[in-house]
Amino acid sequence: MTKNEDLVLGIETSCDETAAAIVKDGKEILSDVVSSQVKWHEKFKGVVPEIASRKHVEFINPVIEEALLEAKVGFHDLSGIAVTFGPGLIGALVIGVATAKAMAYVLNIPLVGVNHLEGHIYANFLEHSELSPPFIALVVSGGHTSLIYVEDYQKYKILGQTLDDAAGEAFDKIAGFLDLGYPGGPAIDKIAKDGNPRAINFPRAMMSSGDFNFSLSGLKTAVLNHVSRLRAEGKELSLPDLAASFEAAVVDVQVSKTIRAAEEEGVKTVVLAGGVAANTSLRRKLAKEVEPKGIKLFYPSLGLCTDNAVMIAAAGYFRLKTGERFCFDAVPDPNLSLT
Amino acid sequence: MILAFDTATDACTLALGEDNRVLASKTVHAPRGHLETLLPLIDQVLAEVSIKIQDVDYVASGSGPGSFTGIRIAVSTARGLAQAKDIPLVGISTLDILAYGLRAEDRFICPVIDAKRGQVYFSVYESDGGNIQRMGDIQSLAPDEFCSILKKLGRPVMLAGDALEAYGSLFKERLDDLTKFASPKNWFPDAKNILPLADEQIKRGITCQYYEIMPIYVRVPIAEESWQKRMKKVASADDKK
Repeated sequence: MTKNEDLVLGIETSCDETAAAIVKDGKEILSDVVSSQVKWHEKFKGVVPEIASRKHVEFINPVIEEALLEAKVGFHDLSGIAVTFGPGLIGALVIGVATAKAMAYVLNIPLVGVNHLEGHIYANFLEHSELSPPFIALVVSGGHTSLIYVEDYQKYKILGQTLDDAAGEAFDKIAGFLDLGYPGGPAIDKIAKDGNPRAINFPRAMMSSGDFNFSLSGLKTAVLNHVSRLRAEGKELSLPDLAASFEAAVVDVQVSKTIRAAEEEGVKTVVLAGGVAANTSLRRKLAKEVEPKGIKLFYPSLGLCTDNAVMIAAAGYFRLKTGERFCFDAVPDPNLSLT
Repeated sequence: MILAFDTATDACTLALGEDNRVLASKTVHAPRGHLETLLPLIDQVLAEVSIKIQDVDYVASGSGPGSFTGIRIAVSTARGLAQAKDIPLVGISTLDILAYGLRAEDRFICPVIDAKRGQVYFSVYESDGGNIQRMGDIQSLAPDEFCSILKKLGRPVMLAGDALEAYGSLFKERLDDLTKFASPKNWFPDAKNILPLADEQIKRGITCQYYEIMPIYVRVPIAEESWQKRMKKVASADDKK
């Protein structure tokens, strides 16, 4: 391939996926390589930051090599590099940023830092060319639960977020407690399909709090208490009913607040993003509720919901276009804000 | 031409050399600031001698042991430079770098680095004045245990390393007159000492591909340590049944 102005290498190491991708012109995916670390974190039933950092060092370079091979391009064809610089695990972010800096320096090409949440939102732009701001984005993943008003490209307003656990984190903890496997999201999603979501009436925390924040720690405790009580009473526990009821309690609040946010901001489009956007009941429930209100719903395909570098390359492409640059003395920010 | 650096301790140290000559070098004190310091420092030092990163033939990285994040910054930077430039890499232990700096000072040298969480990393080296030879594995032990091992050795040993800042007085108290402290300027690694060590490896053909060098951690992650302890407990409880 000849030197193309618009081939961006995306690098993502904010949590437990080591990912690299090449995206052309901000929209054409030439490669998408993700190396999951699940098997190293599994026995701990959650992501161990130090293990994540160690695995990133080991895998980031081969993952980048594979992304180049798959895209059939070389380092010298690249026009820029985009790297996630927060929010996320600091030690994990450091690996992507150190690697990206070194490569951009050697290749003498521009480097830009991308907010991980912006990346998740851009996964939707990649797959839905008809999507344009303004819209409401619900970003739900292992580390985040945020309701964001996307006023325009790269212009965000955080309407609310979780006050304690992120959605994916709560799924992991409940799945861990019930021995359903890790990661918890897909495990609960699967077993909940055979359950009755109305079997147990778990609390819908913050449903009528009047704001757009979320809280999941109370629900988590309610689930643990329910299970302990049944066990103490020697009663039988239906895991599918329990999983479905827990999931319904999470989803109900998220759907209700997302729709209210769209109505209050007067927008007709809602976007789902992040790993938990892969959840079947969240997608189904949101689709059902937005339809009568004339609100359009977008969500990415499964592969682009979970952490990947395609979304970072795409978001980075547009940041590079505006002339934004990441300096060589810049550092990642584990609590990086979108605004 | 070799570009060498180490960020395992509070020192961010860098040197550029060719044919046994140091062309440029710089060491700055950058506790917890290696990611923001290292690349600008590389750029600055290269610029001072009007050399471009494109002219570098080998990258040599200190690989620890030391601060986990610190060694990952040097190794990731080295791997990134080597991969994008398509040049070989050399990984040098941070303890080797410290010991080499003292090769002319004494016969037995023991670099000792603060491992935090109540331990120190160390290894004993024998020097013939020009070359150094590591005598055993790199270990991570409590300062007390470290002192017992040195005493058992029963040889005059010279200590150097940042652990002397944290445990210097303890070492003085526990160790006998056989132990000497190197002057404080030798307590932190100097990348100038990486150059001959890297050169030696290059001559012997022991270079690495970009994906082959890894940090020398010595210790497993805390989570893994706790998990192993838990598993041992479960196993011994099962045995009792």
